[in-house]
Amino acid sequence: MKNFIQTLCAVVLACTVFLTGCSPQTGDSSTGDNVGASARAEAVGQLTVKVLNIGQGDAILIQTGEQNVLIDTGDDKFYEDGKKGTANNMLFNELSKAHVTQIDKLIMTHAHADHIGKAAAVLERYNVKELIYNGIDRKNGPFKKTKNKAEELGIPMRSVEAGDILDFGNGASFEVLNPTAQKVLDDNNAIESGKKIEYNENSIVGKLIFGEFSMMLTGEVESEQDKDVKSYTEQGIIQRYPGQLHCQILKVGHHGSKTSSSQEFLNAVQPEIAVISAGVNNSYGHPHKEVVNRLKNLIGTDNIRCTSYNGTITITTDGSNYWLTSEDDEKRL
Amino acid sequence: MISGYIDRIEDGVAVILLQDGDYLLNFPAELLPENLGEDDNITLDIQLDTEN
Repeated sequence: MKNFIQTLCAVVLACTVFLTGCSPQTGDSSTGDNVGASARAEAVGQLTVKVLNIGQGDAILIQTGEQNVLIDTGDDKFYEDGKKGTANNMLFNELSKAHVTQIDKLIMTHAHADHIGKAAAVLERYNVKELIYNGIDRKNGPFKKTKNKAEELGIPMRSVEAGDILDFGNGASFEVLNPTAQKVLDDNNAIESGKKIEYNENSIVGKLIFGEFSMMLTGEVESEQDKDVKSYTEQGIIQRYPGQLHCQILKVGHHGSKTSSSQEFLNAVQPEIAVISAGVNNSYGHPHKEVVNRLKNLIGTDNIRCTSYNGTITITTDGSNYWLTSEDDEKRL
Repeated sequence: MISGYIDRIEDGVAVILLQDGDYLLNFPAELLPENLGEDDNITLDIQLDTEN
């Protein structure tokens, strides 16, 4: 009975939020920038973004009413204490909760197992229409497995690069900011000649745009560790898109690792809300306190959410205003 | 002999997936043999040290 009452209260609260637009975590999206503005269509209906609680990794579901888009899938197995080696089906549970039976676009930001470990299984289960990646052909691990599965199932696979704009339907678009075509070319040549590359550097980074709402999706792009600014780092993105990176929502890069989210990048994005995807008691200490402190100083504790604290985090927007909720919205980092 | 590959380096930790991803080994990146890094396929051979 207690559970029923809690559920009923949650439903009533959610309905109130949608009907009145009144919530402590709402925002006005009228400050969006002009990246690709000429290509934007009118926002139709509502857009929902769910940063899914899938353990240590990333999986972000975008639902436009016309398309279901999944960005990354999280890992295939649990590797934390108590669950080691068992199948991680948190993604499937979350997709079921969101009533997803088909995925129009599966986007793999980069070829690390905590981002695409489950991708081959998603292709098998969800009638995926298109597989999108960063153009880097990794020869082992889940990338190879996923590519083989896509070929087996006849799912088209294509790469994107900075400057591309993906249509997510109903006026939602995704503007790709990273990697550059040159970086992909260089790194594929390096792989062919047996040289090492850094997969994080090729992460797909982009802006989700819906009306005046925007959200920065970061993959695992890292910040510059020295003064030699490279085009594939956060600082490189700032140089390529000066004054054009502001977004209401920031999906914090690399699970809140101190190797990402430089002060310069945070200043360029100027988010109102920051969302982190990290697993409970993960081995890497994500999110790192340096990043959390930077975010707290910039936007305050109440405007930060993390899946390891708050569970799945949901952002809904009508293109003008947005609403933020999470499964356990009382906890703070 | 255990086979695997280095999936990624996380803040100085080499994340090694073993046996087709069935197991994960977090290994100090600075203890990796020279020239080994992200993407390399590896084998792991653990033996009893009978001299110590």
